[in-house]
Amino acid sequence: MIEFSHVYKTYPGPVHALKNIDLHIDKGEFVFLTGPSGAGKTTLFKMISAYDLATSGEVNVAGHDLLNLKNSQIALYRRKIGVIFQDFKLLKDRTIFENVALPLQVRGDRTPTIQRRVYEVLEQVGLAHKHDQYPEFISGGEQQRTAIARAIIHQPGVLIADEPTGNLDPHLSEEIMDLLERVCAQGTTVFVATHDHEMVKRRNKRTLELRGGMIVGDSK
Amino acid sequence: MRTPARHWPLKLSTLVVVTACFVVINATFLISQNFRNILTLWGEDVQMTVYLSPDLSSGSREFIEEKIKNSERVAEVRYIPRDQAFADFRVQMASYAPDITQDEELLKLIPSSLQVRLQERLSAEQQSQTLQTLASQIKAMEGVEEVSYGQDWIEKYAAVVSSVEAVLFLLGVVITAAALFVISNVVRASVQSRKEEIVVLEMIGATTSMVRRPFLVEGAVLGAGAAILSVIFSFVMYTGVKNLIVTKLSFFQLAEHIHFFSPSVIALSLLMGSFLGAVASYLCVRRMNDGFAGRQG
Repeated sequence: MIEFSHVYKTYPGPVHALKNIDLHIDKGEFVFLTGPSGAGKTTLFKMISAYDLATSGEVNVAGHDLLNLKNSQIALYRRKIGVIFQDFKLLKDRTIFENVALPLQVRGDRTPTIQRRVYEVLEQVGLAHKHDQYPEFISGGEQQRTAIARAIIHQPGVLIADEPTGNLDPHLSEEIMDLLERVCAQGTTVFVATHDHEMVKRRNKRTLELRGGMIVGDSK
Repeated sequence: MRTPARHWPLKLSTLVVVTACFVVINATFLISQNFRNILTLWGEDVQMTVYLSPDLSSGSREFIEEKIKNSERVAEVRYIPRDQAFADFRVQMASYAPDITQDEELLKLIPSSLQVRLQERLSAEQQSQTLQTLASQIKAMEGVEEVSYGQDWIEKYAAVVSSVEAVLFLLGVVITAAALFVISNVVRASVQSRKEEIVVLEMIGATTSMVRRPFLVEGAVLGAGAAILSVIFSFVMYTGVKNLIVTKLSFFQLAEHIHFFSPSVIALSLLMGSFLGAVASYLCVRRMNDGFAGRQG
């Protein structure tokens, strides 16, 4: 589902953000990505979400060769993945319902379909009763659950989460991880970057360790 | 994607600033347009009088008339016979100096003449040059006693018109450039404040055009709204200034020559406002919405 082959990423300077990354993640797998700040986790995630291109090598996600993706194909590719950020990236001036509905609106789904699916997903993340509230009036955990709902509403093949629990307390972090595991159980490949080693240990999932732009450990 | 219907405080302040810019542009054009009207009005008085010898035959007079008419810058040549000039003089002087009109000796001195009017499309400077050239040519003709065209007045008029036009043109360019700068900065700030929205929309797979469309529509609506408001404000200002001219400066009799924009100019300004708003939005969004907004932050 996610495949990196001899991937290098160099920024002007030169700064070698990623060096010779070889990586294979299967469909439906749950994988943690750990490493200190500046190890290259975010760079790797930006490549998966087609926000950045590798300097060399091959990146293949959900059957798409990302290095050869045309500009016009990027938007269509992104409709097949889900992305979760540490800072949630919810639109403050839209309700929970409207935030979650965005991917389906972009895809051009019909209103009855959107309504049905949004309530389904909000039910799944336990936020159906808050559908008409604005993000700033709900808790951090609820905001992250809203972001997860938005990321999974279109049933993506791949879900990437960059420090999804970075702004949350331990209890809420566990809640979010439970939710991501449930999403994975439905067949979605989930790839989570985190600093929280304790949680990674408790979850007992495959873990990749990134240091200085290189994968230095794979628990597979 | 729908047009975002929020961010009211920002939109309102943008509308106010853009309207203010448009009002300044409108005012400059209004002043420029009406100055031209007034100057053209004064320019219409510019003509040349060719005084003919008393013993000139009608054949020679027609020959002179034909020669002057052949100049492509001449619009009309009108012959004023001595009798008519005499009658005109009487009418003009009757209320000022009735005694003069009875002085037969003095009246014998009034000659017949040709009134030469130039093409209206000529600029003041061209009029001045044409009159000078034409006067020297006509003076050399046999049967012409004197040529008069208010030399001093014409030269001063041409200088004033050229200076005023140059100043207004420069002012127009500077104000338009300043307005464009302000508008694009205001729209940029508006778009910048919604960068997060662009990032999210790109992230969930919105195409470039989907992301841009609401901003373009908003820019166009904002531009059109500002143009409408600016026309209203300009009209209020115009009415005030015109009232002032009618009441305080009635001596100059300028009121009937001062006009507001014609309906077609108003329609054009609304279109331009809308177009300008859309273009300013496009330029700002284009920089951010390249499909990689998330890369920046």
